[in-house]
Amino acid sequence: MIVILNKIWIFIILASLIYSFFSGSYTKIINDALSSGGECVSLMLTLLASMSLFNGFLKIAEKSGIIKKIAKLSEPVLRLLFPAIPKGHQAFGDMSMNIAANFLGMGNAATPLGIKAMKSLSSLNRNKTHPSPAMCLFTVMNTSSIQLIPTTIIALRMNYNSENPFIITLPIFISGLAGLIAGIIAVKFCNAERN
Amino acid sequence: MFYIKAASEIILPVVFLIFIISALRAKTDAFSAFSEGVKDSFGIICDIFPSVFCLMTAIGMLRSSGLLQFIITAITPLFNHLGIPPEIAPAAILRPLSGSGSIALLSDILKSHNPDSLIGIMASVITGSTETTFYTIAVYFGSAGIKNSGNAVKAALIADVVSIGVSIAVCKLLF
Repeated sequence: MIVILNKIWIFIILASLIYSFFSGSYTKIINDALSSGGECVSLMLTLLASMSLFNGFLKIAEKSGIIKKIAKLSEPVLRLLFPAIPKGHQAFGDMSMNIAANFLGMGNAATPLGIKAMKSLSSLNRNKTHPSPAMCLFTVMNTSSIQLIPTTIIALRMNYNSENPFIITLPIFISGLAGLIAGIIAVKFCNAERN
Repeated sequence: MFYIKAASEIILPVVFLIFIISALRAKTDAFSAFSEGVKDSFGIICDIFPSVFCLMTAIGMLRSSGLLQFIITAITPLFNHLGIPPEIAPAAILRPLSGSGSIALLSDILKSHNPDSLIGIMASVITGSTETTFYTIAVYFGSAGIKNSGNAVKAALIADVVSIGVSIAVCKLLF
């Protein structure tokens, strides 16, 4: 069974290779592919460092019971979106931490939290190679997450001497929220169709 | 505005402090816990590396072959017709595909245009309004061992289109 990501991936590589013969870039395309691979490796190393730091602290928080406390607070809201998850499940804690981290603009902390949440959700998933509706919804929420403080963008704008670096905060929040809602609706619709 | 900056700087140290203090109160073996967290990270990186590598290679080839530029050039007349500055087209198209690419593009745009101009603001909002779709899916599904991404990609792309569309509309209205 060919999946959509597979189709897209094959299409991109195929189209790029064929186009490179027409545009003459076939001489450098493989080299560029190699350097992209190199970028990926350095990205992984950077991620490994920041992930280790955040994961370390988060494990401490987990063992000290903090995650459970935060989960209790946000569980009622999340239950509306994830009715299939049993009350008090670990996944609620992980998901709320991930959403909170993203909301506060802590992208590097959010990723390990999100992965942890996915693993918790996976334990509830029956078909291990297919995402459960909850895993689908959670992932899509992460692809369009909203940020109260878009730290990277602000930093970049300040770097280029913007007179008003924070002016984009509200527009980003509005469009992020719109995307999040659209994503949630799209997933709920697709999942309903499947059933 | 100063408060937002101060708040975002202070959050992480405060959060870590809270964690350590509660570890003291709960008498947790913080050192072991921390090491365990580090060990987990290593496993996670190993899990996600293949999918992210596949993706970055494909995007790299897309840019290198000139196909991305070709697509942008093709879309420019449409953008002009809608009254959208065509300079932001690469940012809009690249956003779901590549995080580092989007940041690089945004830097480029902020460097060559006034960050507070319509172009600068629109590019900033587009880049900030959504995450890198394919990367996120690769990481999240890769770490959970999912082979079949199913509806997630479609839904996520719909979300991206809405985010980017609203970004453009809001910027046009407000600025």
